[in-house]
Amino acid sequence: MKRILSLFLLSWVIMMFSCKEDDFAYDSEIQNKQNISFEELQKKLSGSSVSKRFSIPGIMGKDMTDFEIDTAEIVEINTTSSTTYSMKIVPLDGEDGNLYNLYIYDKNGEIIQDIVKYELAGEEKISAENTEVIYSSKNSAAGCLMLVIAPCEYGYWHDDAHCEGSGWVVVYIGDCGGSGSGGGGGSGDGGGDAGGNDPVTPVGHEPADGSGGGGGGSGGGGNQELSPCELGKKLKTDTAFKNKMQNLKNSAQNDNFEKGFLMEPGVNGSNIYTQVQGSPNDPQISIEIPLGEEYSGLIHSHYNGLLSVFSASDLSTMYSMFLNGNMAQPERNFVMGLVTADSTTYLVVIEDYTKFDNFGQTFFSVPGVYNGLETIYAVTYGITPENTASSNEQNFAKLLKHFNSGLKLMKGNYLNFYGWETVDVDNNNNVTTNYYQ
Amino acid sequence: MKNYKLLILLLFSCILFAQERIIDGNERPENYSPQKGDYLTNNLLDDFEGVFIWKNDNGKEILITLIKKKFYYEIADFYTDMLFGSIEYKRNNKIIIQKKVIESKDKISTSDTKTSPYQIMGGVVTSQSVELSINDEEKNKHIVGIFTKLENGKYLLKLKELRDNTIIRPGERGKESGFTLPEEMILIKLK
Repeated sequence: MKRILSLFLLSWVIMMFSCKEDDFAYDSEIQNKQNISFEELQKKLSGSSVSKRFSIPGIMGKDMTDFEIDTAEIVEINTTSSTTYSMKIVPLDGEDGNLYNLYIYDKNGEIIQDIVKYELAGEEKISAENTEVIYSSKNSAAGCLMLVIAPCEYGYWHDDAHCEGSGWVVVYIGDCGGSGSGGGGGSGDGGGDAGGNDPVTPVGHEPADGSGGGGGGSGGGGNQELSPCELGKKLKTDTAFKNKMQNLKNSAQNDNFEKGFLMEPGVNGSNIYTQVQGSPNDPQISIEIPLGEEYSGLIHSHYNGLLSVFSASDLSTMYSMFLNGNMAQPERNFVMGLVTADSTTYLVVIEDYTKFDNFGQTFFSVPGVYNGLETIYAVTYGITPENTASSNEQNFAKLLKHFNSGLKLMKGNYLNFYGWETVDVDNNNNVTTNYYQ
Repeated sequence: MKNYKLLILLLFSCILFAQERIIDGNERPENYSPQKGDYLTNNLLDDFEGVFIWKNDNGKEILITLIKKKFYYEIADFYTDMLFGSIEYKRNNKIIIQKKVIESKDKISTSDTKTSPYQIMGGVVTSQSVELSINDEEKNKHIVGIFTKLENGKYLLKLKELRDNTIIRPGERGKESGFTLPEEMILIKLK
C-alpha cells in the first residue's frame, strides 16, 4: 500500500514539474549510490568546483546568503546517463526551519549546481508544493530534481528501509540529466545571456572594443595595507570585481584565447578595468605598460588545456610589474587573479616583499633560469595541465612556500567569486584552506 | 671525557654521512614534497646531451653543444638536472655567434647564471622534445627552441618567439622580430 502511495506521489510530482516522462530515471536506473567524503567530492570535481562554504547573492530576500555544506552526508548517485552529487547545505546565519540541498551534476560536459529549498514545517512531508529551486548555475533545474537528502523524519516517499547512514533518507524524485524544461524567468541585470535566476550573470555592458569601462567596487587599491584575508574579505563584496571575474569565467569556458583585465585605482577605492587579451590558441597576453604606471591588480583567464593554477609566466608578469613600479602602493594590496576552464579561481598576493624580490631575481632576471622554474613546475611538483586541479593546487601552494616566493595563494568560490580562502602549507607539508568570515 | 669523544664522533659521522636525497624526477613518489638538499634527477635529458651540427649549401654552419648538469637553486637549497649549452654560428667561415665555453664544473647554481649567462638552457621534456631557451645575441632576445629527437642520430630544432605573458614598455615593440638562426633545421649528432 505504501509502495502504491509512493508511486502515486511520484507520478503527481512528475506532472507538477512538467518534465517529460523519459527525462526521469527510476530507482532501477540508479546503477550505484554511495556516500563519499568531501575530499573525494573535490577530487571527482577536479578539486575546485565546490567549496565547503560559499555564498549566493539575491536569494532568500538577502543580498548575500552564506551556506556551508554538511560534509557528513554527501551522496554520489550514478545512473546510466549521469552522475549527481547530492548534499545538505546549511545557511550560515542560522537554520530557518527549511531544508536545503545542493545538487552538482554534469550536463553535456558542463558542471551544473542547483540549490533546492524544501519548506518543512512540523510533520509536513516533502512535496512539490514545498519544494523550490532557489538557485541554478545554468537555469536548468526547474523541478527536474534527482534526489533529496532529508532527515529520516521527513520525506517518507519511500519505505523506511531507504533511510540510510546517519539518519538521512535518499528520496528519488527525477532526473536532471535530461534536457530540463524550465528555468528562465527572473529579470537578470543585463549583460549576460543566460537570464533566469543565475546570480552571477554579469552586470552592465562589456565594452566591445575592450578599451576600458567597468569600474566601481573596492578592489585591491587603497592606501591601507591589507593582509591576504582582509583583501579576500574586501573583494568578496566588490561587485565590479566579481563581474569581471565572471566575465573571465565565461571566456575561460568558451574561448580559446587568454583574456584579462588590468585594474587601475579609481576614485573612492574603486577600480577602472581595462580589458586585454591574447590571440587564439596562443597562451599569452602581451600588455603594454609604461614604467611606473600603477595598477591595483591584473586578473586573467586560462582557457581549456592550460594550467589550472598560475603559470611560471604569470608569476614572471607579476614580478615584472613589481620590479617596474607598476603596482599601486602598497604592493601587498595588488591582486593577481586567475579564472580557469578547470573550474578553479585563485589570487596570489605578496606577503613578503624581500622574499618575492629574491624569488623574482632568481627565476626571472636570467631568461634561461625561467626554464628552471618550468622544470620545477613539471618535474619537481608535477604541476601540469594533465594533472588534476586539486593536485596542481596543492603542489603550487607547496612550490610557493618551499621556494620562499613571499606569495600567498588564495582560492576562490568558482560559483560566484564570493569569498576567498588562503591555501596554507604547514611545516609538515600539509595543505589546508582557511576561510575568513 | 669518553662522552665528549663520543659526541665528536657522532657529529663527525653526521657530517660524513649527511647525504642529499636523490629522487628520480620521472618516477616521483606519490605526494612527494621537496626537502632541503634534495636532488631531483631527470634522465630524459640524457637523450639530448651531445654535440650537434647543421650545415647547408650556402656556407651556413651551426654547432650546438648540450650538457646535462646538476643545477642548484640557492633559494630553496634544492637541485634539479638541467641542460646547459653553447652555440656557434658561422656563415662562410665567418663567426656570427661566438661559442661560449660551458664551465667544466659539475654543479651550476642560480647565482652562476647571473655572472656568466649560458647561451642555452633547458629542462622540460615532453614527447621526445626538450624546450630550450636560446639567447639570440644578434637580436638581443631570448627565443624558444623545441629540440626533438628523431631517428638515426638526427634532431629537429624549431625556433619560435618566447611565448609567455609579457609586459612591454612603450617603445619596446620595435624589438626585432624573427631569428638570426634558421627557423627550422635538422642537426646530426656528432658525439
